[in-house]
Amino acid sequence: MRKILIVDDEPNVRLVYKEVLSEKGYEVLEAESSRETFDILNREPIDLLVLDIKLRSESGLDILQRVSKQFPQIPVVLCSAYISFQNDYTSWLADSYIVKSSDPEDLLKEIEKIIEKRGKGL
Amino acid sequence: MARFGEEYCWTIRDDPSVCPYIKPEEGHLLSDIESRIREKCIDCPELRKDLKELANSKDSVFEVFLVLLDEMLRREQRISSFIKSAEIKEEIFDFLVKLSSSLKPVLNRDEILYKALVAFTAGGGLGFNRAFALLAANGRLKGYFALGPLSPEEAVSIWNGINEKNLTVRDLLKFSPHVFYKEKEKFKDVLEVMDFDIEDEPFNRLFKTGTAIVVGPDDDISPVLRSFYKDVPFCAVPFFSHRGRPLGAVLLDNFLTGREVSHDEIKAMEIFATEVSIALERALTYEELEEKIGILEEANTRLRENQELIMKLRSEAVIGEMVLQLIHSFKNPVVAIAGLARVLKKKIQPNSGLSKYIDAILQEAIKLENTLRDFVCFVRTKYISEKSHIDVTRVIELLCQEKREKAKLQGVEIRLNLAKNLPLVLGNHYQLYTCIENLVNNSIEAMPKGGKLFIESGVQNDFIWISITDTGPGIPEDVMKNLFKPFFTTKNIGSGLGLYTSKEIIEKMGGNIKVSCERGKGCKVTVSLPYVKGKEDEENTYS
Repeated sequence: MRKILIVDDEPNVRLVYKEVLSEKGYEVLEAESSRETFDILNREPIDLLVLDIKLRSESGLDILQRVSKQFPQIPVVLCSAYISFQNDYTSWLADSYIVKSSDPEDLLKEIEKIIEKRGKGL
Repeated sequence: MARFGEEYCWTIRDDPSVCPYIKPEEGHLLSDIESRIREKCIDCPELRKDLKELANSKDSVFEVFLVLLDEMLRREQRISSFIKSAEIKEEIFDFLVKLSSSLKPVLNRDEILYKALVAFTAGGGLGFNRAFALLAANGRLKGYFALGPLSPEEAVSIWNGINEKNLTVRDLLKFSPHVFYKEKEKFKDVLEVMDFDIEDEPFNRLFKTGTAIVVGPDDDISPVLRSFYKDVPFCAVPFFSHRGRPLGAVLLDNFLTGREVSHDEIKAMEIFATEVSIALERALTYEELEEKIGILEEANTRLRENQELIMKLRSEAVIGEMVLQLIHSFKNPVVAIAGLARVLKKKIQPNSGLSKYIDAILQEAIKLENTLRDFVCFVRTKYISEKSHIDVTRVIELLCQEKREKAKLQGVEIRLNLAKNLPLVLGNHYQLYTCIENLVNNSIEAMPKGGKLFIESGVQNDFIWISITDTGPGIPEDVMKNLFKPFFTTKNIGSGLGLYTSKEIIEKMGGNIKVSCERGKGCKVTVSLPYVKGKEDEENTYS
């Protein structure tokens, strides 16, 4: 079972993602801060990270930078509330980028695409 | 023959044939011998001859008469020359008083030089035939104005005109712009070639001695002057500021009358020149002050405009940020509400009575989500990425105004060398400002021990360029490679996004950014941006 870590400081948003992703057969872990994120990453292997670009007290981009240094093998889907970083940052550090939406279709599609690509690469 | 028999002409009464000098209307002199001797004989060579003869043949006492006669004539000559000199001095003094009072209220250099040359050329003044005024600036001495006739015919007509109209000194000193420009135009060709180095002779001598000088045909002088004056002698008089700085000079000559200049006149010229110098310095200072006031006023206006613009940009950026922040805080709850409604909808039976409520929640949440999306779009176009025609020069000036003080504290001096009338570029004003600010900040930070920051601009092909050069230590090669990569930073505090964002902004505008570096000598960042063609004359849309 693929393990996905959701990093978002809104518990209800995490709840939505968890429901949607569990239903599709993924094992979902949650973190709401950079400390929790790295606790999990250091503890167990993770297949994919869904990362909110803007956390309450820290920047998702800082986490992205650290993840890409320490765990370069883990693909990251960056989420943000509005389109701003799409053109700027996805091409080099994050593998994908989505705008947060109540409709989970985009997220599911991106995750499948990345996992498929990684699967082939392995 | 003055001797008539035993008698001499000067003793014979009432016989007109004895003296050819008595005019018909002077008949009384025929009988009044005493008056005749006073008025006629005293200057008559015959009397001297007779006295000589009498001294030889009759009595040596006549020799004494002869000596006395000579001495009397000599004294008379001296007295008349004193009187003449005194008259001239009085006339000059009178003129000087009038010139001085007429120059007092004048602040216009044309008027001052006009009056000065009138004083040097007018009959009641120094009476020169012709005068040229030259003004000093930046080590050169250039012909500015001239007054006088070009030919003897013109001279006669000018002098007759003055006599006919019975013009007084006061009339002559009255400034007439019409006459001024007519004379200036008349001497245009000569004034144009009168362009000398202040060290050319005779000016070198003139400003060194500080007195009026007479230049003769054998003096070694600038070839231009020599070919103009040929062997006509002329005078040169210097104008000085109160601190002894040369302000100009006057060249004077009597090319028509050939009259020689007396010692008294040279002294008078110097006094005239002093009066003119004072007025001229006052006028030049006033002009300079007016010009400086103009510059200051303009700078002040620009400063105010720029400050307003900075405030506007700042507040717009702040509004944009605030709105995006607000949207973000709305977005998460909406995503949660709508997302959970979707989850719930899947979990209940399709025919459950609850589904219409869930649908309603979902619909409303989606509506809210769409409204937020549209609003973000609006805010972004309005405040974040609105494009306009940008005057890069103004952006740079604006930025420097902001940075100069801060840079100074770090010992960094900002020097601008910006091309004039740089064409406009198309882009987002705030973004471009931020971009150049990033580059300037980096350059300033590259000089923690102080230095110089040069910002220059220009046009090449279809691009304008801006270069930012520092005198810092330069960039190591490994840093250079990663310079524009995101999240790359050598600073303790820094996102590593500054240069990356700058590059993105420039590239989005269709330009590029280059860094060249020499170890130990500093770095040069060059930004090229395509300019908007055919828009150079249009007013900036953001201003």
